[in-house]
Parts: sequence; structure tokens; C-alpha cells
Amino acid sequence: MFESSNSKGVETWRKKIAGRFESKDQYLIPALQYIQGQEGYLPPEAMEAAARHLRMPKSKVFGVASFYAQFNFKPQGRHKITICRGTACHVRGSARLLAKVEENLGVHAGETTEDMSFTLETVACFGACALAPVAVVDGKVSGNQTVSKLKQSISDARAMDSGKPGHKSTVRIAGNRASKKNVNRQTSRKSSGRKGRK
Amino acid sequence: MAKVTLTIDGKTVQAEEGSTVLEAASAADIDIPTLCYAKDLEPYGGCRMCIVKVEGIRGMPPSCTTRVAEGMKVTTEDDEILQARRMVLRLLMADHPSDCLSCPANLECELQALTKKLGVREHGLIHLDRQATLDESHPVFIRDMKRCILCAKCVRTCNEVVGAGAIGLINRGHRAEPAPFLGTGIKFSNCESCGECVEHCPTGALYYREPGPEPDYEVSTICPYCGTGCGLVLGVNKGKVIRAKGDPDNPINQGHLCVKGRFGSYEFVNHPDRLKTPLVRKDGELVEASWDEALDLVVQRFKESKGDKFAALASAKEPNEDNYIMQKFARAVMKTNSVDHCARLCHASTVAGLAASFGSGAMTNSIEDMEQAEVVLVTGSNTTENHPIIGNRLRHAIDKGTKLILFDPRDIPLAGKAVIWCRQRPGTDVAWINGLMHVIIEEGLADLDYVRERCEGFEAVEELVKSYTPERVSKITGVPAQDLVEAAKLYASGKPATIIYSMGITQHTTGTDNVKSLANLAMLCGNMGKPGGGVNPLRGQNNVQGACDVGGLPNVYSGYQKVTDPAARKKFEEAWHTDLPAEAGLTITEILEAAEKGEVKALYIMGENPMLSDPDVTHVEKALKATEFLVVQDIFLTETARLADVVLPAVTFAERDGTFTNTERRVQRLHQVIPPLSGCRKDWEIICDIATRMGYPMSYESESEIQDEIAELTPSYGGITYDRLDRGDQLAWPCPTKDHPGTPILHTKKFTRGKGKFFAIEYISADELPDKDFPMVLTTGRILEHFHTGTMTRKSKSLHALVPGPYVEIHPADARHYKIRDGEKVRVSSRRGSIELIAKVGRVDRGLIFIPFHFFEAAANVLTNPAVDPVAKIPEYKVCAARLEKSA
Repeated sequence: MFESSNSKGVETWRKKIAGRFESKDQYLIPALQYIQGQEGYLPPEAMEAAARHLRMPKSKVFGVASFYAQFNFKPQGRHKITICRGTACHVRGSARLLAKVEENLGVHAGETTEDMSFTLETVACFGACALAPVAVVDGKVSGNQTVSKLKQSISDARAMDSGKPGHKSTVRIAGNRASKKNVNRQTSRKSSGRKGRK
Repeated sequence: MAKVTLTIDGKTVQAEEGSTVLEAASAADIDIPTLCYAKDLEPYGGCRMCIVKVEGIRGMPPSCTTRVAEGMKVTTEDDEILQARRMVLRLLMADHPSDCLSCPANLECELQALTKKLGVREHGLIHLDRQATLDESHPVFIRDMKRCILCAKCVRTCNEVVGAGAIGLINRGHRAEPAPFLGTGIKFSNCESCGECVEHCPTGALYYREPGPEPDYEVSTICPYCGTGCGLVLGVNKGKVIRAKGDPDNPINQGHLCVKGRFGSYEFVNHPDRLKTPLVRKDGELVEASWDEALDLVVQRFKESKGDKFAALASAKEPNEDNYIMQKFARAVMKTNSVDHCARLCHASTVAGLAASFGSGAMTNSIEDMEQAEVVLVTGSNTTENHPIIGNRLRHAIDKGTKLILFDPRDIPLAGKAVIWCRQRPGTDVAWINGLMHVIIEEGLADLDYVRERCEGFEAVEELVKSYTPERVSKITGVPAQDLVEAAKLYASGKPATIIYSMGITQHTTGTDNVKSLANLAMLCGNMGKPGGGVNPLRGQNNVQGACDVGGLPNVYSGYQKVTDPAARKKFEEAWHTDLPAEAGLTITEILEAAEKGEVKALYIMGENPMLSDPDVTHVEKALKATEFLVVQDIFLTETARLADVVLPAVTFAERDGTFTNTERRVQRLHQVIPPLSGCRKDWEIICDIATRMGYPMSYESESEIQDEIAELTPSYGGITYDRLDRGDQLAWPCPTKDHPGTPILHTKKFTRGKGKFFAIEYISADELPDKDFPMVLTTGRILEHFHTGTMTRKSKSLHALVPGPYVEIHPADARHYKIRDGEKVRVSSRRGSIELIAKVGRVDRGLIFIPFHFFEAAANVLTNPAVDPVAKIPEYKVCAARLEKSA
């Protein structure tokens, strides 16, 4: 059946991807990581471009991308807060921590605030149980978290933003892109051994 | 293949090396249960039902992925294995809905059958229903992923067999499910609606909205749509054809079908709009008449119009027998050679061009053969939409390593699979083909030994293409010079490489030039007469090859024996016991011109619809109205039939025997599925009746007897009989004698004409180029869901639901320029007329618009340019200047 898509966007992305990766299956995940590194998430036209360049069905690209927890399909906030919900953190009160942050930001875990400033996420175990409860703010891991410490981090981040909402603020480019890479590396390492397809 | 010996359950079994334990067991009648296995798919090992024990191997390996080995000792069933299988079933049941009684797959479900067979009544685990998608977006089938058992047969079929790759497995763990890109509804994906996934689903996760009753009986026959020639198995319930399945014994489609074959091939057969009685025009109205009344009128008027005052249109949709009878009628009874059909409009330039280059105007290699090519050059063929099963086999070959070069201005589905995709400007084909030859010769990649030994006329081409440098060609065609160089090198690197083309090449005023240029290119690299090589025109209609072969053309009798050749004429005069006209007759386009001028007074049209299919239909309408006496023989009251003086009701392909010759010259047998509907008659019977009433007795017992006459008079069909076809012989012509095996590959030792001939051809631009008033280039063609003038496909509920009406494809930048949004109504005009239709943004190149020609309510051919190729007289459907504007 006929579909129409944003062909200009696809072509722009295809050129970017083709300039960096050979047209071989094994470059799918690196290409997706590159896209997410640029955009913070995987826009549909960029995934389509990856499919084009690698000459594979776009359904397969989406299949692979949706398998991994590290990939996002929606635009992400300028700041990312990840709260660990592993056993040790749970025992040390991470459920309450999460509830309070949700209340503070006005979003549920997995969502982004309307002004695009915060994305709130959970992780099943961060692997730093001795520091429980653990939270990660913009790639910075901090242990022995409390509600007030987290609230402080949130207001610090807000202060760091020049008050301008929208995706392309300088704060994001200066501070966030580098740190996002950290988060990606860590979550991907953790997720590989933990989860498998049924 | 070497054999290995192994023991399965104590039984000594021989199996082919490389085959699997499951296949070996099944060959030895040992049953191993499976859920994710299918014969036509690669082994997957996903469901773990087929686990066995193999001596010396730890654990229980799945038999579907374990290869046989010499001396292997396999146990397919013991208590431990059964226990493990039962556990697998229990786990599947634990998140499977227990709504069997209301499930559409009840009693046909493989999961249900296995639970019964292995005696698993309850899973005994905590039940956790799958939270999965219910996708009701598609008009023909429903995807209820709650019932999915993740065998991935649908995903694998879509990727491996079809090659569309519309669905993949998304998410992880308990939330995994097959879904299209972004998890949208399947209707909004690149799904090709072929239904192969539904056919493969072992449970009720995929099912048809209207499954229909079980057939009382089934008959195998041949699909009536494109030239691929797939085998169909039609099911009949209470005298009506109610379903179509792929014929697994047909070597072309091997049981698979496309959307038209599966849903559109039978729905029109018992359609209430079928013509069931002759119609005669009285006081300006078509009214019902008896057969005698109608035929008497036809006979009386035909008697007055013998010779040049008469012309006939044979049909590329009708079997060989009827076309043979039609041309015999025109020549022997009406004494004119003015008989033609719509092959003129699709591949006349192929017949002219390839006959001049090679000596034979047809596909040189077989469909199966294509899979042996290292490189495939596809141009002017949207293969996956217009010859879907060939397209699927091509995609399969690409997945196995064949490299694709695509030259097409539109973003067709094959573009995603191409190593190099060049978007040439429509009408610049000679230029880029000369450009490729320039590079191949410059780089020393030509097969000069082959050229010297097998061909002639090369020097002129060598000289001519010197000026076609990549830079110059790039300016003409719009293809980057670098891409041209790479495409040339890639084509020359293929040993062998094949060329596949279709109407994007032929439907130009330079159609014959385009075809000859492709022939040049193939000979230059020594690709002719070899498996996996060749020049392969894909023919558009089920029997367009056959209709040409049996003489439905104004200049040749059957087997391309020239009417102007006195020896050939004498042979036919003796066989038909009458004298025959010596002059070649008129072509379709000329017939219509002559009709308009009043020179042709009686026109007999069988199974064609020029009111939609011919260029500049406003003009066609004038011509048909000017015809004094128009007889149309068809299955529906088509746009052309509405203008007729007499309409004669014929039967469909399902109501008769006969033969179709497919695009690869393979003659295939049609079998009568149901008796002719009351009131309808077979085309050849009607023509024979008219001939007999006119004093030239024609009578045949059956189609088989007509085929025998064709064989007698046609050297290339000489050995083809119904007996042989019914025995299962796969016969591609030339097949001169009864013990000849047929000829799947042409020109193997030498070309039909002796030496292959090179033609030095300069690029000439299209007849009508865009200008200030008409700034866009319009190109036309077919789409996946419909066929030709829609007479059959638009009667199909399923196909209609998929694509209900006409549209024009527009490039996003042009859409912005004209402030047109997707789905808005627009007006497209050319010098010849104007139509209104819906805009679809995407797929075409900038400055180009595409309109499918299936739809009478916005007929693309109101706009097209009737300028023709000087040699083949094929009109330029693929390029004309047009204007685009928002509808008022």
C-alpha cells in the first residue's frame, strides 16, 4: 500500500548516515546510537534513512531499536533523571523517591515534561546497590539519595537553563550531549545481560 | 547431492547432505510436531516443539535446525521429550486467551491441535493474558496479536517469501509482537496485502474478515492478471467461485499469490453485473436481444463491410485459441489483415526492437533463471507492483546476494533494495544506456571476444557512444555522473548480469530505440544466451505474449510468419481453404484514425477497453462513435461496450479451457472451473458461429482441437498439445516437435537471426516536453491493487476497499510550491484534456507527476500524448507535459 513520508528528512539523514557507516547489517546499532546521539531520540525519518542506507526493511530497524531499552522514540527533555528501582533501592525507599519526583515534575516515569526540560525514567537495577537508593541526573550517579537532595538537583538544573524552553537551548548542547553518551553507555551495558527476548 | 545414512527411532533413513533431521524424519513418515516450521521458510528453531534427542549431543536440539550427519542416532519421542513439549505448550497457553470457541481459527488452530494431541488440558500456571495490539486497520484481514505465539512465521514470510518486510518483531519479552514500522496499523505500512502472512499463521492471530464457506471442490487454473502466469486453485461452493489459493505445483509461484491473485481473481466471476444476454442498440438505447437476433444483425452488417472497411481487436486477456480464431476470422472471412490488440500499446517496441537485434521479440530467459544472475539491472519496471510474484523472486535473489541496479524516476519499492538507484528524467533512456556503454568500453570491461564472435555492427556503436561521456549524459538525464560510472562498472562486473524492463522503456516515441539500446548493452557484456543473463521484457497481461504469438497482429500470421511473404500466405491459404489479403493491415492507433475518418465502417472488439487504455481517450471516443457498426464482446458492460451497436456476452477465464502463454514464453493450461454462466458463450464459439453464418464454416470440438491447428501451422508451437500440458510438461516456445522439451533460454549457441546486431542510436528527446503552460512531466502506469482498465479489479470488494479511486502522485516540493496538501483534490491538465483527482504526496521525483490509468472517473489517458514510435507505433504513455493546480 502507498505510504508517504517526509522524504526530504529521510534524504538528509541518509546522507549523514552514509557518510559515517558502510552499508552493512552490523552497522545498524551504531547508526541508531549515532542518531540518538544527535537528536536524543530516534525520529521516524532517521530510522527510515538507516533502513535505506543499510538496505533492510524499516520494520526490522524498528524491531531492533524497540528491543533495546537505550533507544527512545520520543523527543527527550533537556535533563534526564533516572531512578533505580532495583531490589536494594526499593528496600531503601526508592518507590517514595520516585513518587515525590513524579509529583514535583508532574509526569510519570517514562514521560517528559511539557516544557521539554525533564525526562523521568526508571531502571531495573543500576548495579550500585551499596549506594542505594541511587538516582542519576544528567549522567551523574549519586547514591544515598533523598527527596530533598533530588529536589535540589532538579532546581539546580532549572537554574542552569536560561529559562528558555525548547529543544535547542545552549544548555543542552553544552552539558547534556556529552553526559547523555555516558548514560547510554551505562544503560546499554546493564541491559545486555539482563533482558532477553522471549 | 551426497546422501547420508542415519537412524531415526531405530529406522535406517537416507537423507540428503545438508538437510535437517526434521526433513529426514518427515520423508520417512515419522511425525514430529512443529509450530514455527514451514516448508518454504528458512529453519528458525523458535518454538521448541520439534526437539529430539541425538546420541552424543547434550540436551534436546530442535530437529528443524539440526542438520543430518552420517551415523546420527535420533530419538523423536520418549517420556522426557514429551514432557518438555508439554511444558512448551503450557507456557504458550499461559498467556494465550482461552477463547477457542469464539476464535476464528477454532478447529484449524495448530496450537489447539497440538494440545489435544499431547494431552495438555490445562497449563497449571498463573495466567497472564498478552497485552498486545488488536489491529483492525486493514480492510481484508485482522491482526489480533493477543493470539500470537511468536512463531514469527508472518514476519519470516513477509521477509523471506514476499520480500516486502512490512512487519518485524518489536519490543521484548512478554510485550514482543509482530508489527509494522513504528507499530502503526498494518494498512499504513508498506504491507502489500498479499495475505501470505494470514495463510501462514498457525493460530487465530491473523484472520480474514470474511473467511467464506468451505469449497465443495477445487480446480487448478492460471491467474488472469499479469504476464507472470501464476497457478491458481479456485474453490467452488454451490456453483460459485468463492476463493483462490496459490497452486503449490506451479513452478512459477510455488503456491504464493499477490493481492490481485488472492482476492481479485475470482470476485468478478460471479459478479451480478456480468453480461448475461446480448444487447442490441435500438433507438439509441442498448436493449436485450436473443443470440439469434444479435448474430443475424452482426452477420448482415459484417457482410457489407468486408475488406478494408472492417477491423478487429483481438485481446491480450483471452486465451491463445480465441485470439487465433479471431485473426483467422478477420483474415479468412473478412479478408483484411487489420487485426491488432493492446500489445501495440505495451510491448510493440519490444517485439520490433528485440526482433531486429536478436531475431526474436520475447523474454530471452526464464523467471527462475533470474535468480542465477549476479547483477540485475531493472529499468522501467515497477516489478513488485506490476509483476508481484516475479518481484518477490527478485527480492529473494537480492537477499541471497544478487546486486540490483535500478533506473527509475519513481521511488518504487525496489529502490530500497538497490545498490545503485538512478532517477533518470523520463524519456532519456537512450542517453543513459549509451552512457553506460561509454564507461564500459572506456574502462575495458566489454566482452570483446563475445562481440566479435557472436555479433555484428559493433564498430558504429563504439564510435557513437564516444560522445556520451558521463558528464554529458548526466546533463541530459539528471543522474549524477558518478552514479552512472558506478552503475556501468557494476553491470559489467556481473557474470552473468540480466536486464529486466517493462513499459517504462517501451511506451515512448523512442520505444524501439530504447529496447535496441538495452540489447546493445547486454551483447556488449556478453550476457546473451546464458543462464542468469539476457534481456527480459516483462509482459503486462496474462496472454499478451500468446495473443502476439498466434497472429493477433496486422503484419504476421501465427508464429510471426509475415503476411507479405508469399510462401507463408500460400501455406495459410491452403490450410484455411480460401484466399488471403497480401497487404499488412492497420495497427490499433491507425484503426481508430481510420474509423474516425469513416474508412473503417465495422469494428469488432473482443475483450478490450480502448476507452480507458488508449492514449487521448477523448479522441478515441470520437472515433468509436464515428464507427458505423461497433461490436463489443466482453464480460462486463465496459466504457467501450456502452458505445457499441451490439454487445455479446462472453465467459470469464474460470468458465473455460484454454492456454495462456506467460511472459517467459511458457504455455500453460487453463481448466474450466465452473460451467459458463447461463446466457454467456465462449469467444471462439461466438466467432465460429458468426463465420459459419457468413458462409465460411468454422467448427471445433474443443479448445484442444484449435491448439492442434495452431501447432500444425506455427513452427514454434509445433510440439505443444493439451496432452503434454496436462501431463505437466513445462513448455516454453520454441517447441517445434512433440518430443522437444521447450526452450527456456533463447540464443544459446547463436542468435535467432544468426548474429546479434548492434544498432548505433542517438538520443532524441520525448515528443512533448514541459513548457511554460504545462510545466510538469506526467507519467502513467499501473499500481499493485488494480489491473489495466479496472474492468475486473474494480469489481472486487477487497481491491476496491484497498484503493477505491484515482489519485496523482506529487513530489513534496512541488506540493509545497502549489500549496497542495496530501489528500486534497487537484486538477491535472494537458493539451488534450483535464481531470480532477486526489493528490498523494511522495514517491515521484521533482517536476514529475504519476497517475495510474485504471480509473474511468479520472482517466489518465484523457491527458496522454498519442504521438507514436515510428517503427512500432506504440504511443508515448510515459511522458507528456501537464499542468497541476488546486481544484476550485
